[in-house]
Amino acid sequence: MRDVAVLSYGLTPFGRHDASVVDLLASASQVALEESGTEAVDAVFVGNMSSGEFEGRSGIANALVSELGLEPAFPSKVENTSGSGGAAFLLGWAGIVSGLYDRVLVAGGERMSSVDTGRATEIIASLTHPVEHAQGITLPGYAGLMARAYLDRYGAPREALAAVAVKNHYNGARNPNAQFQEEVSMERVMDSPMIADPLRLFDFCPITDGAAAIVLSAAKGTERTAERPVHVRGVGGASDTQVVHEREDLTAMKAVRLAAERAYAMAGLGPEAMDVAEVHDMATILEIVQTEELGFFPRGEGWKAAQDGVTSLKGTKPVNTSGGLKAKGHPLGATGVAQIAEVCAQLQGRSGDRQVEARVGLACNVAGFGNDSIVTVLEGPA
Amino acid sequence: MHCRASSVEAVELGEGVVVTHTVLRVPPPGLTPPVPIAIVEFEGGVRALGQLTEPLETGARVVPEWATLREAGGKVYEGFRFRPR
Repeated sequence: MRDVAVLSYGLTPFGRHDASVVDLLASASQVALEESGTEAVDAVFVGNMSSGEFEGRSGIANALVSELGLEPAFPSKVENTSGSGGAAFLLGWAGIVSGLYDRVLVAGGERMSSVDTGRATEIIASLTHPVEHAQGITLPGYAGLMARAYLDRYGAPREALAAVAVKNHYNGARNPNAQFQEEVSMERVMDSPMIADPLRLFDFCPITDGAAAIVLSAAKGTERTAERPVHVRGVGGASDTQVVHEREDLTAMKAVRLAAERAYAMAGLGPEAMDVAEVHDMATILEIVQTEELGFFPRGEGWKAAQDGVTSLKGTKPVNTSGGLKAKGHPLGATGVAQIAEVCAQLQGRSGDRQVEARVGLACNVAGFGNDSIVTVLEGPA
Repeated sequence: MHCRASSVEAVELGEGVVVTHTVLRVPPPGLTPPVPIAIVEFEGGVRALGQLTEPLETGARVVPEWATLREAGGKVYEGFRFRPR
């Protein structure tokens, strides 16, 4: 299989922007293109969920190509809900692996602040199965159902979930691109307003505007063009049922487990080899469950790792060094690309105050409520 | 259930048990908070997600009733909700 490298990455600050999603995508892409010294690419894949609903925009991949003067590169928007960025990455990577392309720009972005929180929640809830949608279920609602089942089954204290929020805010406070660069106390999390019992406001990621981009290349020859490319060692994607109540285990995320198994098998590396990981903590409970599904901890024990600091910057398995979706923010289509950018930054030693020691890492992007997942294993420069 | 499912059969929803639950404090249009919601398991392992007529704990026994669940965006959503047995 052809060796693929991430040459560079670029990010906008995450938070609130007046700029359109296309402008955000263009700023992130310009940084990535300039850093890689790339002037032309064969294709541009754009991860974005709902530019039409948020901003009344369609054709944003073509618009981005035009904005950047990248014609005649082939453009395509990839929509896979909150996994759009990961899906765009997977397709860009596959294009290079197949030999169809040599160099691809993968960008992800979303501008969500153009609507209020209620409308944003509704747009996101449109991804649910009609039978569940009719009931009024929201993504935070699913997270509440999973959290209740998890706490009951494993006898975990509510504070273990809050520990994830405290940790991710601590990390976000050390990330200049994060939406929330502020530490929070356990008390503040536990006293925040209830959203979907037992989960409170501080258990959830915010509404975010932002974009991220990476330049992918066939690795052969990149020694001349990039300082320190990061190698893509394994990529896996997998899906689960759209209907959440049909899943055999309500405290598990099968799509994450399967995607990880595929990525590990391709990389010839297992969970024990991962020095750092970005996971999809749309809610605190999801970080805990994903660290179990990724094989970092046995089922039912992820909460102990969160509580004991194992997943903190100083722990043996640092998770969401960027601040995660929780503190860095979650511009839907940007997230999967931004996660890969963070792992690259860690592997290249460019993470400043949040730097950990890492040679190999992974990114786990999730679509919907575990409806599907993309897991990517990356190895840093030698 | 899906179009290519190998075994599809109609089942009678009798009495079920709440296996997990939450309360939506920020529900979508057409609903007034708080909205208790649960996943209920019936005999034979069939499960359903639905609104509760009142907040209930895990293990509570419920029965389904057909109801108008909410009206939003010019649409009327109907389905099962669950009340204590």
